[in-house]
Amino acid sequence: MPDKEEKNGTSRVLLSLHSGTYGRTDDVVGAFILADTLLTKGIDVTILLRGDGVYAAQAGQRPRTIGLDSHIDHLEAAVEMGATVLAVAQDLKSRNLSKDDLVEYAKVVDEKELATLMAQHQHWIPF
Amino acid sequence: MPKPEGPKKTLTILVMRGPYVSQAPELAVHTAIEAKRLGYNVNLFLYLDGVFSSHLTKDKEYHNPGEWLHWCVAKGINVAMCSRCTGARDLEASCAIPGIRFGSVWEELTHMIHDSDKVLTFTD
Repeated sequence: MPDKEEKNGTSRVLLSLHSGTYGRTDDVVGAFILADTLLTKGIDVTILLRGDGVYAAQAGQRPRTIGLDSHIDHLEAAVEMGATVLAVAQDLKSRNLSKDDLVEYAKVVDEKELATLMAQHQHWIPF
Repeated sequence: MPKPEGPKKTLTILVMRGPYVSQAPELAVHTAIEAKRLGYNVNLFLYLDGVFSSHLTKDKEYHNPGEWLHWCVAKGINVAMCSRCTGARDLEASCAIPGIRFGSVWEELTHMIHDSDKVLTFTD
Protein backbone atom coordinates (compact mmCIF):
# COMPACT_ATOMS: atom_id res chain seq x y z
CA MET A 1 0.00 0.00 0.00
CA PRO A 2 1.40 3.44 -0.85
CA ASP A 3 2.21 5.96 1.79
CA LYS A 4 -1.08 7.22 3.15
CA GLU A 5 -0.01 10.79 2.56
CA GLU A 6 0.74 10.05 -1.05
CA LYS A 7 -2.62 10.27 -2.67
CA ASN A 8 -5.23 11.84 -0.46
CA GLY A 9 -3.36 13.33 2.46
CA THR A 10 -3.68 11.79 5.87
CA SER A 11 -6.13 8.91 5.74
CA ARG A 12 -8.69 8.97 8.49
CA VAL A 13 -11.77 6.81 8.40
CA LEU A 14 -14.85 7.27 10.56
CA LEU A 15 -16.77 4.04 11.09
CA SER A 16 -20.22 4.96 12.31
CA LEU A 17 -21.97 2.11 14.07
CA HIS A 18 -25.73 2.48 14.41
CA SER A 19 -26.71 -1.10 15.18
CA GLY A 20 -27.09 -2.66 18.59
CA THR A 21 -24.80 -5.46 19.58
CA TYR A 22 -25.69 -9.15 19.27
CA GLY A 23 -29.02 -8.57 17.54
CA ARG A 24 -27.09 -7.25 14.54
CA THR A 25 -23.86 -9.17 14.92
CA ASP A 26 -22.90 -9.06 11.25
CA ASP A 27 -22.94 -5.28 11.10
CA VAL A 28 -21.05 -4.90 14.35
CA VAL A 29 -18.41 -7.52 13.63
CA GLY A 30 -18.17 -6.32 10.03
CA ALA A 31 -17.33 -2.85 11.31
CA PHE A 32 -14.76 -4.18 13.76
CA ILE A 33 -13.08 -6.37 11.14
CA LEU A 34 -12.78 -3.37 8.85
CA ALA A 35 -11.44 -1.26 11.71
CA ASP A 36 -8.86 -3.91 12.49
CA THR A 37 -7.59 -4.13 8.92
CA LEU A 38 -7.51 -0.38 8.38
CA LEU A 39 -5.56 0.15 11.60
CA THR A 40 -3.14 -2.61 10.68
CA LYS A 41 -2.51 -0.86 7.37
CA GLY A 42 -1.69 2.38 9.19
CA ILE A 43 -4.97 4.19 8.57
CA ASP A 44 -6.41 6.16 11.47
CA VAL A 45 -9.83 4.97 12.58
CA THR A 46 -12.50 6.55 14.72
CA ILE A 47 -15.39 4.34 15.80
CA LEU A 48 -18.46 6.48 16.36
CA LEU A 49 -21.29 4.83 18.26
CA ARG A 50 -24.68 6.29 17.44
CA GLY A 51 -28.20 5.22 18.26
CA ASP A 52 -28.29 1.62 19.44
CA GLY A 53 -24.62 1.42 18.52
CA VAL A 54 -23.77 2.93 21.92
CA TYR A 55 -24.52 -0.46 23.48
CA ALA A 56 -21.32 -1.76 21.89
CA ALA A 57 -19.30 0.12 24.51
CA GLN A 58 -21.44 -0.76 27.51
CA ALA A 59 -19.31 -2.16 30.31
CA GLY A 60 -20.10 -5.48 31.89
CA GLN A 61 -21.39 -7.27 28.79
CA ARG A 62 -21.70 -11.00 29.36
CA PRO A 63 -22.90 -12.43 26.06
CA ARG A 64 -21.10 -15.70 26.67
CA THR A 65 -23.92 -16.56 29.04
CA ILE A 66 -26.03 -17.00 25.91
CA GLY A 67 -23.22 -18.55 23.88
CA LEU A 68 -22.05 -15.48 21.99
CA ASP A 69 -18.58 -14.00 21.78
CA SER A 70 -18.15 -10.59 23.32
CA HIS A 71 -17.91 -7.64 20.97
CA ILE A 72 -15.95 -5.82 23.65
CA ASP A 73 -12.94 -7.95 22.70
CA HIS A 74 -13.06 -6.50 19.19
CA LEU A 75 -13.46 -3.00 20.52
CA GLU A 76 -10.53 -3.37 22.90
CA ALA A 77 -8.35 -4.75 20.11
CA ALA A 78 -9.17 -1.75 17.96
CA VAL A 79 -8.33 0.65 20.77
CA GLU A 80 -5.05 -1.13 21.42
CA MET A 81 -4.16 -0.54 17.78
CA GLY A 82 -4.94 3.16 18.09
CA ALA A 83 -8.63 3.55 17.36
CA THR A 84 -10.65 6.24 19.07
CA VAL A 85 -14.08 5.23 20.36
CA LEU A 86 -16.75 7.90 20.68
CA ALA A 87 -20.35 7.59 21.85
CA VAL A 88 -22.94 10.27 21.22
CA ALA A 89 -24.16 11.87 24.46
CA GLN A 90 -27.75 12.31 23.35
CA ASP A 91 -28.01 8.67 22.25
CA LEU A 92 -26.66 7.55 25.61
CA LYS A 93 -29.09 9.74 27.50
CA SER A 94 -32.09 8.52 25.53
CA ARG A 95 -31.16 4.98 26.55
CA ASN A 96 -30.70 5.93 30.20
CA LEU A 97 -26.95 5.42 29.90
CA SER A 98 -24.08 7.71 30.85
CA LYS A 99 -20.31 7.72 30.48
CA ASP A 100 -20.12 5.74 33.73
CA ASP A 101 -21.91 2.85 32.02
CA LEU A 102 -19.30 2.60 29.28
CA VAL A 103 -15.91 0.98 29.07
CA GLU A 104 -13.25 3.40 30.26
CA TYR A 105 -11.69 4.06 26.87
CA ALA A 106 -14.94 5.27 25.31
CA LYS A 107 -15.30 9.02 25.12
CA VAL A 108 -18.55 10.92 24.91
CA VAL A 109 -19.18 13.41 22.14
CA ASP A 110 -22.05 15.85 21.74
CA GLU A 111 -24.05 15.48 18.55
CA LYS A 112 -23.34 19.13 17.78
CA GLU A 113 -19.74 18.08 17.21
CA LEU A 114 -20.57 15.44 14.61
CA ALA A 115 -20.36 17.68 11.57
CA THR A 116 -16.87 18.80 12.59
CA LEU A 117 -15.93 15.23 13.34
CA MET A 118 -17.02 14.06 9.90
CA ALA A 119 -15.13 16.91 8.28
CA GLN A 120 -11.97 15.73 10.04
CA HIS A 121 -12.19 12.34 8.36
CA GLN A 122 -11.62 11.51 4.75
CA HIS A 123 -14.25 8.79 4.65
CA TRP A 124 -17.37 8.11 6.67
CA ILE A 125 -18.63 4.54 6.53
CA PRO A 126 -21.90 3.78 8.31
CA PHE A 127 -22.83 0.31 9.53
CA MET B 1 -23.53 13.65 -10.06
CA PRO B 2 -21.03 16.23 -11.34
CA LYS B 3 -18.50 15.25 -13.95
CA PRO B 4 -15.07 15.01 -12.31
CA GLU B 5 -12.58 17.71 -13.20
CA GLY B 6 -8.84 17.26 -13.38
CA PRO B 7 -7.25 13.88 -12.70
CA LYS B 8 -9.56 10.92 -12.82
CA LYS B 9 -11.15 10.40 -9.43
CA THR B 10 -11.88 7.12 -7.74
CA LEU B 11 -15.17 6.18 -6.13
CA THR B 12 -15.59 3.11 -3.95
CA ILE B 13 -19.08 1.83 -3.30
CA LEU B 14 -19.76 -0.54 -0.42
CA VAL B 15 -22.91 -2.67 -0.56
CA MET B 16 -23.88 -4.25 2.74
CA ARG B 17 -27.41 -5.48 2.13
CA GLY B 18 -28.74 -8.34 0.08
CA PRO B 19 -31.11 -8.28 -2.87
CA TYR B 20 -34.91 -7.94 -2.59
CA VAL B 21 -34.91 -7.38 1.16
CA SER B 22 -33.33 -3.99 0.56
CA GLN B 23 -33.03 -1.48 -2.25
CA ALA B 24 -29.37 -0.94 -1.37
CA PRO B 25 -27.96 -3.18 -4.16
CA GLU B 26 -30.12 -1.49 -6.79
CA LEU B 27 -29.18 2.02 -5.73
CA ALA B 28 -25.53 1.09 -5.43
CA VAL B 29 -25.29 -0.47 -8.86
CA HIS B 30 -27.10 2.38 -10.57
CA THR B 31 -24.81 4.86 -8.83
CA ALA B 32 -21.77 2.85 -9.89
CA ILE B 33 -22.84 2.72 -13.54
CA GLU B 34 -23.61 6.44 -13.65
CA ALA B 35 -20.28 7.29 -12.01
CA LYS B 36 -18.47 5.10 -14.53
CA ARG B 37 -20.32 6.80 -17.38
CA LEU B 38 -19.15 10.16 -16.05
CA GLY B 39 -15.55 9.05 -16.07
CA TYR B 40 -14.82 8.00 -12.51
CA ASN B 41 -12.78 4.97 -11.61
CA VAL B 42 -15.32 2.88 -9.76
CA ASN B 43 -14.84 0.07 -7.26
CA LEU B 44 -17.83 -1.90 -6.03
CA PHE B 45 -17.27 -4.07 -2.97
CA LEU B 46 -19.94 -6.50 -1.77
CA TYR B 47 -19.71 -6.84 1.99
CA LEU B 48 -21.78 -8.69 4.62
CA ASP B 49 -25.18 -9.66 3.11
CA GLY B 50 -24.23 -7.69 0.02
CA VAL B 51 -22.43 -10.77 -1.28
CA PHE B 52 -25.74 -12.53 -2.03
CA SER B 53 -26.26 -10.41 -5.15
CA SER B 54 -23.09 -11.86 -6.65
CA HIS B 55 -24.79 -15.26 -6.95
CA LEU B 56 -27.93 -14.18 -8.81
CA THR B 57 -26.99 -15.76 -12.13
CA LYS B 58 -30.36 -16.92 -13.47
CA ASP B 59 -32.89 -14.94 -15.50
CA LYS B 60 -35.82 -13.58 -13.59
CA GLU B 61 -39.23 -12.19 -14.50
CA TYR B 62 -38.68 -9.29 -12.16
CA HIS B 63 -35.82 -6.94 -11.39
CA ASN B 64 -32.51 -8.67 -11.07
CA PRO B 65 -29.58 -7.15 -9.15
CA GLY B 66 -27.41 -9.97 -10.46
CA GLU B 67 -27.97 -8.80 -14.00
CA TRP B 68 -27.04 -5.27 -12.98
CA LEU B 69 -23.82 -6.54 -11.45
CA HIS B 70 -23.11 -8.30 -14.72
CA TRP B 71 -23.48 -4.92 -16.46
CA CYS B 72 -21.07 -3.39 -13.95
CA VAL B 73 -18.43 -5.97 -14.80
CA ALA B 74 -19.05 -5.49 -18.54
CA LYS B 75 -18.59 -1.72 -18.18
CA GLY B 76 -15.24 -2.11 -16.49
CA ILE B 77 -16.27 -1.46 -12.92
CA ASN B 78 -13.98 -3.23 -10.48
CA VAL B 79 -16.37 -5.55 -8.62
CA ALA B 80 -15.21 -7.68 -5.71
CA MET B 81 -16.88 -9.53 -2.89
CA CYS B 82 -15.74 -10.33 0.61
CA SER B 83 -14.45 -13.90 0.66
CA ARG B 84 -15.03 -14.24 4.39
CA CYS B 85 -18.65 -13.13 4.00
CA THR B 86 -19.26 -15.55 1.12
CA GLY B 87 -17.68 -18.37 3.07
CA ALA B 88 -19.85 -17.61 6.07
CA ARG B 89 -22.90 -17.92 3.84
CA ASP B 90 -21.73 -21.11 2.07
CA LEU B 91 -21.54 -19.32 -1.27
CA GLU B 92 -19.18 -20.90 -3.79
CA ALA B 93 -16.81 -18.93 -6.01
CA SER B 94 -17.65 -21.16 -8.94
CA CYS B 95 -21.31 -20.12 -8.75
CA ALA B 96 -20.71 -16.38 -8.78
CA ILE B 97 -21.29 -14.00 -11.67
CA PRO B 98 -18.19 -14.19 -13.90
CA GLY B 99 -15.85 -11.28 -13.45
CA ILE B 100 -16.66 -10.62 -9.81
CA ARG B 101 -13.53 -11.33 -7.86
CA PHE B 102 -13.24 -12.96 -4.49
CA GLY B 103 -11.43 -10.43 -2.36
CA SER B 104 -10.76 -9.86 1.28
CA VAL B 105 -11.26 -6.93 3.55
CA TRP B 106 -7.54 -7.11 4.18
CA GLU B 107 -6.32 -7.22 0.59
CA GLU B 108 -9.06 -5.47 -1.32
CA LEU B 109 -11.27 -3.25 0.72
CA THR B 110 -8.61 -1.41 2.69
CA HIS B 111 -6.75 -0.61 -0.53
CA MET B 112 -9.94 0.55 -2.19
CA ILE B 113 -10.74 2.85 0.72
CA HIS B 114 -7.20 4.15 0.96
CA ASP B 115 -6.98 4.94 -2.74
CA SER B 116 -10.43 6.46 -3.10
CA ASP B 117 -11.43 10.07 -3.28
CA LYS B 118 -14.84 9.15 -1.93
CA VAL B 119 -16.47 6.11 -0.35
CA LEU B 120 -20.23 5.60 -0.49
CA THR B 121 -21.96 3.02 1.64
CA PHE B 122 -25.33 1.47 0.81
CA THR B 123 -26.95 -0.14 3.83
CA ASP B 124 -30.11 0.42 5.91
